[in-house]
Amino acid sequence: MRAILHFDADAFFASVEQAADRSLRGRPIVVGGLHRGIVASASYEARRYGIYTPMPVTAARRLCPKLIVVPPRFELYEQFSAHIFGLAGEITPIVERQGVDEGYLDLTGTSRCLKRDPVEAAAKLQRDVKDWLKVTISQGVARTKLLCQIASKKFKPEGFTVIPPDPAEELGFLHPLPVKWLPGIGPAHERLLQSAGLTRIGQVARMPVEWLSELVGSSARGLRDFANNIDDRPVVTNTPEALSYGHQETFQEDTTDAAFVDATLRRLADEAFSRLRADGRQIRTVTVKIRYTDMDEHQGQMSLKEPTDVAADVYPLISKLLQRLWDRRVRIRMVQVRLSNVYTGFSQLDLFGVRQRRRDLAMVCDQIREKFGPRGVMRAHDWVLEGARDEGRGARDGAKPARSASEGSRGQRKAKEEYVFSRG
Amino acid sequence: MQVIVNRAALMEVLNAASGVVASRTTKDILKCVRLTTVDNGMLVSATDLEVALRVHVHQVEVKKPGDILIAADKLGSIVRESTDETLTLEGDTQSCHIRGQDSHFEIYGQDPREFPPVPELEGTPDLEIEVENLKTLIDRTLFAVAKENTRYAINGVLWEKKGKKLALVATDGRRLARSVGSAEQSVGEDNSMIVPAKTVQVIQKVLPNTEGTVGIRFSSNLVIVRAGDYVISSALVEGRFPQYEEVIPKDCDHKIELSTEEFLSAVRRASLLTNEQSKAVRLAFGKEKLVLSSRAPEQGEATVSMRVEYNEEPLEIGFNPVFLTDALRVAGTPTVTMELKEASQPGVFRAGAGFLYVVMPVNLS
Repeated sequence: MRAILHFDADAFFASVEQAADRSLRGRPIVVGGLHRGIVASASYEARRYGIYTPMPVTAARRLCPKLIVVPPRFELYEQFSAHIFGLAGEITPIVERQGVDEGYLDLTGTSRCLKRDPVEAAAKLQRDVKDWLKVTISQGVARTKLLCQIASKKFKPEGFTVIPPDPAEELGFLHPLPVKWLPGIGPAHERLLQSAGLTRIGQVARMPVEWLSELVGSSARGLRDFANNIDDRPVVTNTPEALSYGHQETFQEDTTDAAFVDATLRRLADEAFSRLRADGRQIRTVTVKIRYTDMDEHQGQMSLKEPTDVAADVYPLISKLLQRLWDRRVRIRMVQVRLSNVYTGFSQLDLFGVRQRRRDLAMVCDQIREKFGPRGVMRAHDWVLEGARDEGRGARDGAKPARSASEGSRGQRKAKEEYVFSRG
Repeated sequence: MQVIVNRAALMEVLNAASGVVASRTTKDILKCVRLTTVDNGMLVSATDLEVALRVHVHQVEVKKPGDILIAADKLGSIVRESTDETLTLEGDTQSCHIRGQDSHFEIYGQDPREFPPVPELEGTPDLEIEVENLKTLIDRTLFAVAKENTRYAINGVLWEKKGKKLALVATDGRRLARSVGSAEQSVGEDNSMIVPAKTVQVIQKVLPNTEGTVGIRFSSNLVIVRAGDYVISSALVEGRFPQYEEVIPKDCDHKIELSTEEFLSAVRRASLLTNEQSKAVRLAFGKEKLVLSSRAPEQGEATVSMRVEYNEEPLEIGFNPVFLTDALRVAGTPTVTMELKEASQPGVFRAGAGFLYVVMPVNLS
């Protein structure tokens, strides 16, 4: 009988800030951008004032004048995350990371290996994390990934929910829940199901697949299986390799300055390519996304004939894409560069050494930046951005202009992406 | 103008012209072919302002001399779809009528006087070479030419005239093919030019329609090739072709003689389990043996062995299989010699005295 644990840290970024700084404990704090702020994480003290994520920091301040706003320190969260997963790894090698602050553990074998049944093992993890790291996690233990994930998220903070592997108990827990707890059911699908009178998971479970597919299409069968707790997804240890490399930036002020936007995109491409080279890979496709001030988004992609790991190869594509995409006379709020169609391993060598020289140059620049920070060596477009920064534009959310040399490391970027994704 | 023309002969010419006629252009006139009556037949000419073709069609009966300009794709389709042995073409600057036994087409024409001039090869050519020889030279090099490379000069084939030898060289930056052949006649000084890939393709396409010798005119901005009734002229690629001699290794330690057929088959089979993202075949030379292997992540692996004369230190090197098969297909000799130094150095293939192929390996680590 399988036993799976899902854990989810409570108000992770805010909890880490409170753990790291004693003076913040017990007080309403949020982690978020100082300028154009969106609350990335709110402590439970802050939530009592009705503050939630994602909400503008200004709105949060109105709700709670005493609110403490802390700029995000992603490398710190990454460190805490590594510690949590380190503790998790002491219980079982089968750990599936789901983000900085949540994951699945397969505890099926702990009784034999650790002389501790899964529930005891889970309780120990929760205690250890709290004692060592001063942050709390909520946990759910169940036979399926679906159930334990719902259980850990439903009862917070410091929840500890065990659903015994008995069909009556399992369905007794699952069926009364609102349909939004099912995987893949967002607000749109939820409204759709509700309009058909399906508000509880139990109702979905009794629905014939044919009827259900009238509502949700091809995902009907999977959905009904979930509603009946039929879920044999295993806990997968190996985090799949990155399928794409994405970097994005929200401007401090929405802009119409094409040169500035283009320079920003190129800088984001530089950063993405630097990560790509560190992983020893190449890509063939580049995607650019722009978000207008009214949140309308446009995106487009172009591919090279040959894979590359040198950013200069995609600069012309980026400029072309930006020109094509930016067809409204509206200010831009956010831009994103994404590199995909990843090539691993083999690289074709070059007869006249031209490509090799360009790669070498890029690698040397990576090393200089690693050692002296992002300003250690600058391209022309970096100067465009410098100029804009002096005029008071530029600067990404969260990042302070004066960065120490070791910042800008990969850990920080990774955390930033996850932060972006967790905002949905 | 009014002519009666043999349909098969006209079709052969229009096929060749279709490789020249501009497909994407705003100038409608460049989508046309020009038909002009001459003393003993009719001239068909086409150009996209870079490459130009003029062909003398003999199987024509001229009823009334003249000149017409007509959309190449429409004329081509009509001639292809018709079943008559001969077609009658009749027209003026306004329109052109094409008549078969049971059909009549009218195509609105353009003024032929606006069509750009298409050069003829006048006087003695600088070089004359057998059709078969030139065809071999082109077949052995054209495949290696760069496609839309930012280094403009390698988007063409280098033609080098040295005494009575003609060498064609093409590279895409990862591999280089050079083929040398003997000319029948050669006048003037040694010379070289970079001919656009499209032009070489057009020449390759028309050579099978001709026999005898091909005359070539080398000049500083234009190449003119006359093969039988066909004259192809083209602007040259500007820029400097890379110093290719420097990348041909001269100090390879390992020389291996391979049966062309057997090696080609082995590479093709080993390449069945490569994919777009990991395109490499590993060549492992051991005692008297060559093992070719490949791996496609999440699909599978392939191993093919063949016997070779090899008695030196084991050597492993990776290649893009397409780069190998491209060259082996056109080698044209029962055996090829492969020369290697080490895994990160180029491999060299030689087929007879005339063909040399340098290919950079793939980094396997």
